[in-house]
Amino acid sequence: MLFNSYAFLFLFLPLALLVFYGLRRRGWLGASVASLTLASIAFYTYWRPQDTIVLLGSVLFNFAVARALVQQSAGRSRLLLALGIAGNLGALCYFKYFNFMAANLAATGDIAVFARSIVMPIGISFFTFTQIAYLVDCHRSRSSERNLVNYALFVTIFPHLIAGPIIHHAQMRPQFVDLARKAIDPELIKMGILVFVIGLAKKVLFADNLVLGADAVFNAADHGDSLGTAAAWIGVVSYTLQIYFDFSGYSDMAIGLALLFGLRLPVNFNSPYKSRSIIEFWQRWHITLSAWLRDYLYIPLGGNRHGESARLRNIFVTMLLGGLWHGAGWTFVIWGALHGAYIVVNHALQSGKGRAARPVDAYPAAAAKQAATLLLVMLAWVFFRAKTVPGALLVLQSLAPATVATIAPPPALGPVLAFWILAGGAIALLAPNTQQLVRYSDRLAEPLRLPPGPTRSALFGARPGLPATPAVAIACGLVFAIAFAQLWRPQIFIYFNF
Amino acid sequence: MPAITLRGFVLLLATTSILGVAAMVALPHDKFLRYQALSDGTAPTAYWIYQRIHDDATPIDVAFIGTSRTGMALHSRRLEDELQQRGVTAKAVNLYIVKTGINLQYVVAKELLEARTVKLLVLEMDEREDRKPHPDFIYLADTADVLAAPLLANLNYLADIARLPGRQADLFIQTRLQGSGLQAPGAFPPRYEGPNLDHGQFITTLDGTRHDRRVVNTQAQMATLLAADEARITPPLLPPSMADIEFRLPRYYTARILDLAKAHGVRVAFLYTPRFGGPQWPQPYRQYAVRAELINPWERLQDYRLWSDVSHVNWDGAQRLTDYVAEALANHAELRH
Repeated sequence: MLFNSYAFLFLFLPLALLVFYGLRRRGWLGASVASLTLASIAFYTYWRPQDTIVLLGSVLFNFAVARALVQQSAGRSRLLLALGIAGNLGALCYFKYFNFMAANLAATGDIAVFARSIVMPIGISFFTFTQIAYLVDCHRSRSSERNLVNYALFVTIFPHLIAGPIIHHAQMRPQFVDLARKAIDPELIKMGILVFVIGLAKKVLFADNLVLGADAVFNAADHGDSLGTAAAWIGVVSYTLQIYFDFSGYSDMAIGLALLFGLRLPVNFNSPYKSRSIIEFWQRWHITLSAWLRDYLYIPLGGNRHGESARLRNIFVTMLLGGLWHGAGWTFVIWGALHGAYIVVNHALQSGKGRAARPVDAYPAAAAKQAATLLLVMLAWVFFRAKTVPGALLVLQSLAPATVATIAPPPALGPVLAFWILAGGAIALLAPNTQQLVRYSDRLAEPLRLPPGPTRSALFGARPGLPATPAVAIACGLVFAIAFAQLWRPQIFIYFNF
Repeated sequence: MPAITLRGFVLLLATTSILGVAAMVALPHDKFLRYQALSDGTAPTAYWIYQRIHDDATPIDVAFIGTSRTGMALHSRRLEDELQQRGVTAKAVNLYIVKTGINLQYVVAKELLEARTVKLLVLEMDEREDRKPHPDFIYLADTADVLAAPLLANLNYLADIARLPGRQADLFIQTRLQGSGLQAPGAFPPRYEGPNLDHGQFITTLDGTRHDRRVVNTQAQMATLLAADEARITPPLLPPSMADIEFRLPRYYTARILDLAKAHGVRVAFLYTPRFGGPQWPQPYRQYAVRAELINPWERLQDYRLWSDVSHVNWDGAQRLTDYVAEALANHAELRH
């Protein structure tokens, strides 16, 4: 069930809210939390009922491993942890990477591979990473969740289940406890509505219109059709904006939905295209995945504990595996390798300049750094979006003027697509982001740590904010009406494929 | 401005949303753009229908409205020639749109009857009633017709209503852009194909595929196709006493077309377009026998070599059926005056 579908908006969500708040009104707060767990499982079952077996199997397996793990000595706990992680990664490899590995082995020609088509359960990458982190945290803290319903809710809570944000048990457990004891602050619900509508608009108005420009170019490239320079740039810019509005829109919707039930999910985006370096970009883009990769991959690999070259190698390997996590394909591996290389170079440059605190860049230098960062990110997106490596290379080749003899007409860059590119670009580069607009970070247990540099918004000044006034409610209603008009052609979220 | 309560916030937001959606539904647009929106490979005749009705002054004496069965079976130029040989000068048009669902035939009939003076309206009648609405109704129907469509037994009602604001907003923007000279690359309007859009020995669909209609199937092939087709048919789900509920949609729209024709003083006939192996008489006709005659070419179509598939005649079948229709229409008083 897509968040941007009629079935979700006008059937599932109202029903889930009705049951949840109906139980709370009667004073059955614990039951309301259980109802949220059931609603989440029902939400997941709607996609492909057989996938629910995988999800619930994974939940039970990790719950049992964690319970056993905290009751053992340190040595046995480590062994159980390894088994737990192996079980999770084994399932992930089987469902997500078996086809990829089989195809590559078969391509060598020497090995007969048992060919079978495995359908990946939706969201498996997210719920697997969430639970690996949980097992590691249990091993470190020597404590685990005792209540299976709360644990199932932690893993399956529907706003984040399919595509994150990746959450930690330590973030959510106190909230579940509060939820079963206290009333929900109505301000959270108002904020949730606002954030959800902003996310919905990002998805159905921006991402789903920008997809037309991106698809026209990348599909042509994957078919080997020659592209003109203008067409290639339109495709790359369209996709750069599409993936931002698609994924940050999804994350906003997830945060907004969680707020409707009194829960606060971590922030996943913080105006990433305003970054002035690749390092800063990864502090602003898919923040929960970056943190996961840092805490559960980079640091276990050795982090910065064995010298500078080992540190850079660990960064590169982390990003490479991060790329592979996104999808079973060489294009994702190259995308991860590119970002790994970017960050390594970025760190090397920083080391060369010294780590002393530097003054905030003046405007021309800041703009140049921002433009360079954005360009590098865009070039990497080409591999992320293309279905084939030759297709990606063709798009990259076409970006350079006069390198392709045939000048194919640009894709349908009608005034409508041009509008969405300009408006989307202005919002991504100049406007405050959603959490700034609603001051969501003030509501987090740990307020968002912004990277160094000015946080002043070009459009809203230093202190943006949208209090729940009548004017905001009216504006929100109008945005919802416009978004509603586009719901008849719901498009899947890009990150649902991962 | 002061903050408001949660209840006030939700009420204000919901009210604004509803008013916003209502405002979008009321947006005006160029109706021709609506017909162009359906110009994909599966419905290549929609924009031509609009052009023929509104932009071509050639008379429309006999209009055939139906699905691809009519589209493949009736060759309007041949019909005109055959009528001419029988002393009748009449201009015929085949206003078919692929896929079943009589609510879309109502849309075409309304468009035609409100804009043109027609002598005879010929509606397709199949061997059984189709309970399903046409999937493309939302593309062509007037806003009022979408809103006023029957809710009971109409599987597309909610989907069509939900899609209406988006359709209206998209068409409004396209109309404004067109008025400003800001057409998107590749935008229509399409070339006008002339007063008759018929399918002869070949059909070339908009995707460029060319189909040969002279192909003759073997008897065994037709038997296989028939068995497969019969397996797809869903028999009536409700008892006969509740047929008016189950088949409310086709009956409602057929009645509306007949009423519309009556209001415009246009005579109506049904053309039975049976499937291969279908019954000699169409069961649905019994309901309308007092309101319109039936042209029944069943006997002429019993040879398996006249069929491309179970539902569509081939080129030989089309010629034979068209000739039969010419014989049937030649004596109509409306056409002789």
